[in-house]
Amino acid sequence: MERVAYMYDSSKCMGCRGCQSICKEWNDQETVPTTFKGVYTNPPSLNPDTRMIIKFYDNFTPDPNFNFLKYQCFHCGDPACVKVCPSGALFQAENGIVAFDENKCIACGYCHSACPFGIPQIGKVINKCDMCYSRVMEGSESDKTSIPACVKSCPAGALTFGKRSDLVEQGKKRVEVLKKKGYTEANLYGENILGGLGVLAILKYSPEKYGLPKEPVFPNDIGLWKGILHPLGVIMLGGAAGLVVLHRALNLGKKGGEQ
Amino acid sequence: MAANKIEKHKKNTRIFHWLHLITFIIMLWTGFSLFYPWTNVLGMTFGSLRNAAFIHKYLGWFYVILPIIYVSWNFKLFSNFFKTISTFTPEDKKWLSILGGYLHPIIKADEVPPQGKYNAGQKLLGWIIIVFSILLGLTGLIMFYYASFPGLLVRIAIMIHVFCGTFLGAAVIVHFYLAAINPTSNKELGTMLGSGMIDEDYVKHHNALWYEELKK
Repeated sequence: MERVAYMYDSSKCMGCRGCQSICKEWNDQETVPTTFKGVYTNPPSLNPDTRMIIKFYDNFTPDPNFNFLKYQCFHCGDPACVKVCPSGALFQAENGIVAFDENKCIACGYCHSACPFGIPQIGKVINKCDMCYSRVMEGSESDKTSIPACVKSCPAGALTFGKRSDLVEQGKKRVEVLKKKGYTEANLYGENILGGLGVLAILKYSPEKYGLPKEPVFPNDIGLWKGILHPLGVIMLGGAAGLVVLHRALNLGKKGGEQ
Repeated sequence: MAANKIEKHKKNTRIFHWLHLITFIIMLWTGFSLFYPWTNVLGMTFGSLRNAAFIHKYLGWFYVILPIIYVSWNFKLFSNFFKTISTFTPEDKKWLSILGGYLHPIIKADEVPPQGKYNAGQKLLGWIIIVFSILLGLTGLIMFYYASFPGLLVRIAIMIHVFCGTFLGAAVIVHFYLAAINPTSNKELGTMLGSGMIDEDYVKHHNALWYEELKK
């Protein structure tokens, strides 16, 4: 199955937060009152009841405007969260969507600490963007109605859903347009990092201006879990059990050890 | 057989020992089922893997708080114990070099040096339990409040946690075997499980230095 993705064009986004509302609506998430802290980003961060937010970054030079960022799970091509999930709750579908089965989640939080963006939020169970997995999987590939709720809701045309390879092409073209308009830093975020992100973002400025790491890295240290700690733990426990069985079978230490 | 008995473990110590051990076994059992996906089924003994995770997280607090209660309540007992396991004598060194004679004749041990109330192996186990339990508690705390710490720190904590847990599990298996099953030393279980009393003859043979001390 071809990899699907959606692309967020920050240069077209007008910060209406329709996507944020429809995300809550479709996924049946609670809304909790917050306090105003002088910034428009609200709620101030992702939380167990909020899968995505529009972040507002004040940017008065060179462009007296906001930088908007649609912030949620980026659906890595090489998702660390799936690698560390001990209960099989998180999984990567064939079409690249990183989804989860909340019935299997044990709320250990491994995914949160493994994610290069710290995205998965855990209340009673995990909560994060699953690219409206149930909606997307319901329709056929040509069926344009089966798209994520946020994409469907966007009035500014800032969100596009489709085959990832197509979107990368479109995104590159858009970046060229922006560069011609004078945004020399314009870039397509997520083309190659972390196995290629499933959520691409067209940015007018460098990723840092949107609070995004320029070069997020896959946490290679989790390889130690499965490569070394997994076998080591079994060897230590099994070895100790084997040794005592062997000791008894061989009848060693008959001369009387000192307990 | 001599009916003379010597008190080795006080009541509070025995209660603490068993409570802590049972807690540890549940923690090891659930922890193992959480870290090793192929043993997820072990968690089903608690109904579901989610329950196992819940028990592991919250029983962890008990595992940490219990020794704190014991030590502050029985500070004198503990400081004596701590003094004992902190003094390593030349006899201890010899004991360790022949592993207490438990592997005779693979490791030749015609004479086992006399030992105090605790032999060198038990002293070592004492240290392993204290150090690794503290590490388990600290890393567990980081894992419990994972959202407040940087991801890298949490992942390192998880790795230390798993290493300490499995190593301690291995140590407890050996400890249990020597105290409960191995014929030359299995009287220890009854002592810890029962009244805390142990045969004088046994002490004379196994803990000669302690015996002398008691006779003074």
